[in-house]
Amino acid sequence: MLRTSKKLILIVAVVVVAVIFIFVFNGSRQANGKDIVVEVSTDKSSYTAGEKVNIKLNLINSGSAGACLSESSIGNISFVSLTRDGTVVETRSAPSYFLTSFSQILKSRLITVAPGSVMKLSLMSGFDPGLDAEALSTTMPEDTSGIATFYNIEKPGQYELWLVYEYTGEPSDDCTDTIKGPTNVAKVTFTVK
Amino acid sequence: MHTKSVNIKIYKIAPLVWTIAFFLLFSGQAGASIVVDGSREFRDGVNECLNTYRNAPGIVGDVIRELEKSDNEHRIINSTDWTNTVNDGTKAFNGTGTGTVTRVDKAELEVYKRSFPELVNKDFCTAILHELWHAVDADRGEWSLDKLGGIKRNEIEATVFQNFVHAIRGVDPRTSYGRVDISQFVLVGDDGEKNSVTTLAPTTIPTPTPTAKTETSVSTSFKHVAPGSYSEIYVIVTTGSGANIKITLSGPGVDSTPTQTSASDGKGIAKFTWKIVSFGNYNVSGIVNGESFSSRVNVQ
Repeated sequence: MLRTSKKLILIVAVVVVAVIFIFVFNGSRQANGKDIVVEVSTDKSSYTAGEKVNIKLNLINSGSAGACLSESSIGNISFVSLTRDGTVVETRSAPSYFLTSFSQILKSRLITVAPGSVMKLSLMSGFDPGLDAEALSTTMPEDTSGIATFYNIEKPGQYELWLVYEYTGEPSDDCTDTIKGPTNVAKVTFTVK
Repeated sequence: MHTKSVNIKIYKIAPLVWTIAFFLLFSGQAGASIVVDGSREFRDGVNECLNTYRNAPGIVGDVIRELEKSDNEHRIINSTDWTNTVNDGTKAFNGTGTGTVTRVDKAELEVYKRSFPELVNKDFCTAILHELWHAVDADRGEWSLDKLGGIKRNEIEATVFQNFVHAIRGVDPRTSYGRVDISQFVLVGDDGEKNSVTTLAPTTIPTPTPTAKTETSVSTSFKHVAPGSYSEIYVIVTTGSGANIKITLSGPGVDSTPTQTSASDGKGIAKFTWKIVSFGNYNVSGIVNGESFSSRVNVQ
């Protein structure tokens, strides 16, 4: 009888430990920015002044769990540094209005990226009348609208861009494994002649 | 007390109106201060939109024509971002005025519409016109950080403007922004009834007809009630008795509900008052008996 009780207690203890282990293990698998590896490239290595520059990003889920990423370059990509021949390029910032709340737009673009899978994004330059030059731009949410920053890439030189991906929209109930924090800082270079 | 009177334009000379309408309908290019960049298909789509509404009486046509006559360039380009951004972040706010870039994409709009039920009645042209309200706000230097119900006042105004387009198209008004209910700001009518906008405006794209109508006049004035603190803008609409009037004030410091409604009294007079907290240009727009009107008052 005593022996049976000891076996039962042992089984219960093993089950409890297993449950705790699984719970803790799953908790630690919450995706964060460090689980996402950003690779960045350009469609060409060299451009003429005023030509459109296309920055291409691969967001690779290197973690062991699915990760929710917002499928939008605007709002989620920010520049850590953009220099031309070692000097910070000219910038300007201005507010932007959207069809609806910008942070809600970012939330609506959340999708789950499975472990080992890749989300592809691109960031295309365009002419900015404010700088009167070809420019790359990023936009970050501010309330329901956004603040856009334009970076002059018209002038000839060797450009070096460091960027990160970080989800900046509202939390989502539908995509709870939204990554927390920024990814690695990725670097790309290109030349404007 | 400063006063100014503006008479509503009533179309009386049909041949001339038809000639102008025909010209505008078939002109292929937007005006010089609206520049459309993109593929032939994209440019045609945007120009078709502008041509459709340029001649609409009231605020919708007024806004397009105002941008086309502006000294600032307002560029419309093909981009999935769907934004309106100013060329000068200071001049957009301080009354000086600046140009803008509007980024729109027809296919991407459908993606947005699947995620946001509030956009269900927003076709490509209506969505462009919503963004062009931001453009005209920037052109006047009237962008603002003010909020109403947690939503920026400029977005409330753009949605009111969008609902004028909805009324012309005969579709339900938009009542939320970013899934936030803003019906108290963008609907009109004594009870804020959902269909009040559509019942006050034409339900089809208006074609000018030379009919005799009640002459309506609008007078605007202002008074510095508490100098340095706040002023009031007054609008008196004189029209036929018992007319339903919906009127909206927009500008840099409106501190009352922007849209008001009232019926004219037995003498055909309706009076409206708004509290304001900033100097600057204020625009008055409204509808009476299916006719749109607009006016402007500069408070200094």
